[in-house]
Amino acid sequence: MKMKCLVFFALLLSPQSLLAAKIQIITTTTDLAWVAQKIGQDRVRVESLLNGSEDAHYLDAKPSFIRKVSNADIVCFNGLALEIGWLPKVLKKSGNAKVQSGGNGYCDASKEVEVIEKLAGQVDRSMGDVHPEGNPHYTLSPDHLAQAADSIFSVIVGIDSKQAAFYLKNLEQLKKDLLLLKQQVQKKFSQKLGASKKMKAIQYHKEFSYFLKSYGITQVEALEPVPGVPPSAGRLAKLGITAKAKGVDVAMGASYSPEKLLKKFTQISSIPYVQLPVSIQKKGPINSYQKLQLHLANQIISKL
Amino acid sequence: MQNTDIKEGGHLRQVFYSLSLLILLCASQLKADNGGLQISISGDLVGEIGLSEDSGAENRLEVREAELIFYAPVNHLFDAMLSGAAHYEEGSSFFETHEAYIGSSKLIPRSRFKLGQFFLGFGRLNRIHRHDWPFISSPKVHEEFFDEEGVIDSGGEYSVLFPTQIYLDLTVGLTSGYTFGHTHNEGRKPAVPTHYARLATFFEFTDQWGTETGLNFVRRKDGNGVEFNIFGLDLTSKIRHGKTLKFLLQSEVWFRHLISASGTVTESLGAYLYPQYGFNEWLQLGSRFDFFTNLNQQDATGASEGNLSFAWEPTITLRSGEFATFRAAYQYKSEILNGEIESAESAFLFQAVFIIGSHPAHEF
Repeated sequence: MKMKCLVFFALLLSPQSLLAAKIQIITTTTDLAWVAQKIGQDRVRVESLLNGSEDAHYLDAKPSFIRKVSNADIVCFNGLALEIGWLPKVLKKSGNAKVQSGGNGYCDASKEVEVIEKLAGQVDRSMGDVHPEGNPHYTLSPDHLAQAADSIFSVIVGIDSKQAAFYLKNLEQLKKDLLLLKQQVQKKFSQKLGASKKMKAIQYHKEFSYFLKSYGITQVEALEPVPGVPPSAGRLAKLGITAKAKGVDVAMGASYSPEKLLKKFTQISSIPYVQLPVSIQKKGPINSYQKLQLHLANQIISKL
Repeated sequence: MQNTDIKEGGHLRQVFYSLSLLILLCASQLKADNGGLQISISGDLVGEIGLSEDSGAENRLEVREAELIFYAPVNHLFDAMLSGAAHYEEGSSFFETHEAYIGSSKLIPRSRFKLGQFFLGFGRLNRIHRHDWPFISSPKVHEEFFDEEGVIDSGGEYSVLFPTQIYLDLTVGLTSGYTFGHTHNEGRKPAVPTHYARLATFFEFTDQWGTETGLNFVRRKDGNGVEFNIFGLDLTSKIRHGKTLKFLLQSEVWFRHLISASGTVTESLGAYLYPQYGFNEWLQLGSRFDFFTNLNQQDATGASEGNLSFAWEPTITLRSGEFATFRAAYQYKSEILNGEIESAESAFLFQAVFIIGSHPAHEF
């Protein structure tokens, strides 16, 4: 009986000592987990809180997140207020000083990112669910993800400086891979459109702004009148007409965007819509950044 | 006493308004201090109209609560929160300090603690400000044991997250116990101060569906010798699909063993159950069921008397974003003695809640 009790408590207790050799990294999104794993390789153990299908704006501070964060050496998050509604509570309730603001495992991946769509002047909630610091959906651009990798690298090296050269080598390789990937995707678009044609896209919510910028695709407004507010029938009709007149090729929405509204827009404008994942998926075939980028490109191209 | 309270309320109201004005004037400067002081202001407007003849409803719309919350890191180790609310009570507004505490989640590994005045960390509703509740009125059992809004007291609270493979979070607290529940007086030195504990765990069935449950204990013996032990179970289950809280089930079951100064024992049991369905991000429909009974109630002859307070409150919630909520509810309350309905009343309730400024991240 005593033995059984000992075994039970041994199983119950987190096997931290067994994993102590590796740096424990928790990320909010799957894309950041992919980056952290590329930099840390076998010296880190990485897990993302999200599985890639959620809208990271709207989550609860789930106790399961708190438990995972309590064991982490580093917590990397997207930043630019993407996780503002739930992450501060998770960090605080974890009681883990290392990963809270001021700790050496506090990793805001947006610190080095060249942010776009920053709002100037007075910002208030009449403008919708705005992010005053700028558009937070930078991970869909290989260029911007490489900038985020710099921040993640800095935090990992801050914890394990002895292996700095190893991490730096991995970071440089990652940047090369991202550049090659970008060229590969760019080539796909060019082959489809021809060198002279410039593609135009309209988004439901501005999740794809960095992606579009990265590949030189012109974006025409967004279907949402202000961030977080669904378009009315009138707005859809108006945008349908103007988008058609401007020669928009495709309407893009995240996989969690309301399909009904995208369909309606297509009915009005005859512009095809496509719903796309905005992160690497933990389950299914889109399980790496390369696959995600190629999937996005293939799906968009299939609608042209 | 009431007059003194009203005068005091009036004075405090002036302080409240002056403070509010000062804050608004300073807001732009404070905002510039990124990572610094955050200010949240909430308004909770509630109206009720009696639908039955003997309804106790006041047939008016009132500002139930206007709350100001300030929070910020004090330094690299400590955080602090100060919140105050103006309440409308029996024709007058009272401004009172809700919370004023300093705490840290960085000093002791896997732990949080706070010192000061706060809502005691037991149960579900008692840990959440009333404007964030999913329904309008207070459940009967909550009202009976902890008063309408909840128990605020001054003291210390410590929480520790166990290093286990399942989520296990223990909160223990010790507070002065001069008062218990809502009051406008300073109370009296208790024989045994208020002390409490909550052990919470979490079950994650899918990525979208999780359930938190907590076991609770609260004890106090007041200065008159009245002693109680309260045991409870709270449960919150959520299925979230993106922006839409598809399903919510919230419930608390409480049992109180109360010993009066003369030694008479009263045992009471109460619960509420609130299932809610979300049609989309804006519209939710729920219904609360309240049950409350005194287990050893006797009639005039000394015979055991079956009794049950039952209430039913279907509620429709309309949300315009995260910070503006409108609710309408039908409320039916009845008192049942020995299987017969002794009294029943019904009312229509309405609520509007708005939050401006910052708002702390929500609990699960």
